[in-house]
Amino acid sequence: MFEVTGLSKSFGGLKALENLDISVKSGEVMGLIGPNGSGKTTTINLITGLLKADSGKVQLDGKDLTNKAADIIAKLGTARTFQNLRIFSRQTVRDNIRVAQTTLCKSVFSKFVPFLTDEERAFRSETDALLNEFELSHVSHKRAESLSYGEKKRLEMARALALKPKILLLDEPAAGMNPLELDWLAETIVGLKKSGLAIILVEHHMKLVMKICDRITVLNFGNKIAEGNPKEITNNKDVITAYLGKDHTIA
Amino acid sequence: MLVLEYAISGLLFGATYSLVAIGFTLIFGVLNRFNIAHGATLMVAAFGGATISILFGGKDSYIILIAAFFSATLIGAIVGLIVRQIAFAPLKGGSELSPFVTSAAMALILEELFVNLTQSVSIYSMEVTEFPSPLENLVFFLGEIYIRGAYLVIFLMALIIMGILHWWLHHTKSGLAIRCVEENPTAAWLMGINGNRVEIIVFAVASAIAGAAGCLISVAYGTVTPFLGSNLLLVSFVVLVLAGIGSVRGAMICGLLVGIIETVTAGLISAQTKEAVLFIILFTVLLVKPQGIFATSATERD
Repeated sequence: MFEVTGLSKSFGGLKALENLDISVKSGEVMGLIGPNGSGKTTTINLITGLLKADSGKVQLDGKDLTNKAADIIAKLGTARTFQNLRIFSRQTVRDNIRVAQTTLCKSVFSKFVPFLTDEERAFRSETDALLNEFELSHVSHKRAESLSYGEKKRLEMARALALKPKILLLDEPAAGMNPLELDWLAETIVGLKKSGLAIILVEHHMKLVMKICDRITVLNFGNKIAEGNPKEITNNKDVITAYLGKDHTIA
Repeated sequence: MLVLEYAISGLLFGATYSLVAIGFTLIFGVLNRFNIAHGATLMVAAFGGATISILFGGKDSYIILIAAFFSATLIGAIVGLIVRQIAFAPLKGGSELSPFVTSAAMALILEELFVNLTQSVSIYSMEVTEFPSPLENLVFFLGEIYIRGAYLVIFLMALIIMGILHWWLHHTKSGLAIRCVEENPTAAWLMGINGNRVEIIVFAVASAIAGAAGCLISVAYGTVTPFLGSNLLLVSFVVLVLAGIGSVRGAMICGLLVGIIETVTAGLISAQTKEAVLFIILFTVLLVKPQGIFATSATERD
């Protein structure tokens, strides 16, 4: 269970986020939508520790993550992808995935000497499995900068999963994807959800959001204006007003 | 023939320039800050090695020489960590220029300290202190070419150190963590990498290498002075700019290159012109390739 309660953040006088409550169970996809500047990315940055919250709490399975350092939060089971890709472009595809293992490995000794321990064997097979699953095996020894846009997006997701997270935060994963890649994305997210991962999906692509989210939270000017399943959200008056303005109705 | 002899001894001695420049570039890569105290760290470590050699009669003993070498390496690491703690850690998140100033201050303090020590401690001598070693009189002949044994030894040691460093950076988990922090600190942080810990490791390793280099250089000179570091810092700046800042492999190769240029110029023209020739070459390279010879594609840091 991933829980955010009363999370608030202001930048100077601007209230970027006010009193936000979200909870996501494992095996659930929560959509986080709202117009530009409504506080979606701020929420993700607060959860992952890039920003410090003014007040409120973030908890994962009862453990407190609030305002911890980002590396601790990541190790406790929170992984994310970025709106604009942030893969390690000068490293190989395999090394990008192995980054997570530099922090997950238990013995300090094995960080300096690459002996083939049981742990290392497990790491290698996990890496191979992720490369396979995200169709990156054939480019595993290439530098990440040489990949196509779609491959880079897949790599970023594989890299996040290598951290073995309990909650995965996806920041606009569909941006720039073609219809084929969108189908793949939807299938992958549903697959991850079935494996028991809790997922928060920030996305502007409404078709995708409505298709795969179990519940949706709508933000506007840093406030939660609605929460419910996709059907309830499509019919919610406040949501329609926030997106389209007052005098519109959905035909 | 004489040119070849100069070139070979330049190549051999240049390996120590590579070592100094590598440490400098490693720290810059991870912190995006210059450590001006890098040269002073090297000097302190070299004095440490010299002290052991003087006290225990290192003139004829290879064992003492090896002990001096490892002590210098260890002293380098310790001084480096102290420099980080005083000149870098408290200024985190501040301007890029502040650690430049504080580490330059550290360099001055360490230099002054050793100027005073050499004047007051009896085992040291004013101005130049001797670094006795059994390598002093060791000479090889390659056909008719004369090679100093000390140069050959420092070259081999430098190659071993660079080999280990390269292997460590590219084949271990901690090496991977360092490469990732170097490329994108924020993304590395979000992948669970503790940036402070990486900084500490990099400072310790880079300064240990400086310490090793300091020992090798002063063994080759046969002497050590409090200003050993500031001269080498200037040379390693040249190496870095030639190579392209941030390129470890480039620093290795350009260090050798600078060694050759210096020695050949000093031998054929005069010792006073070697710096002038070096900087003329530096300017020429910068005119043709301003980002340096081995610069990697500039990736954004955020």
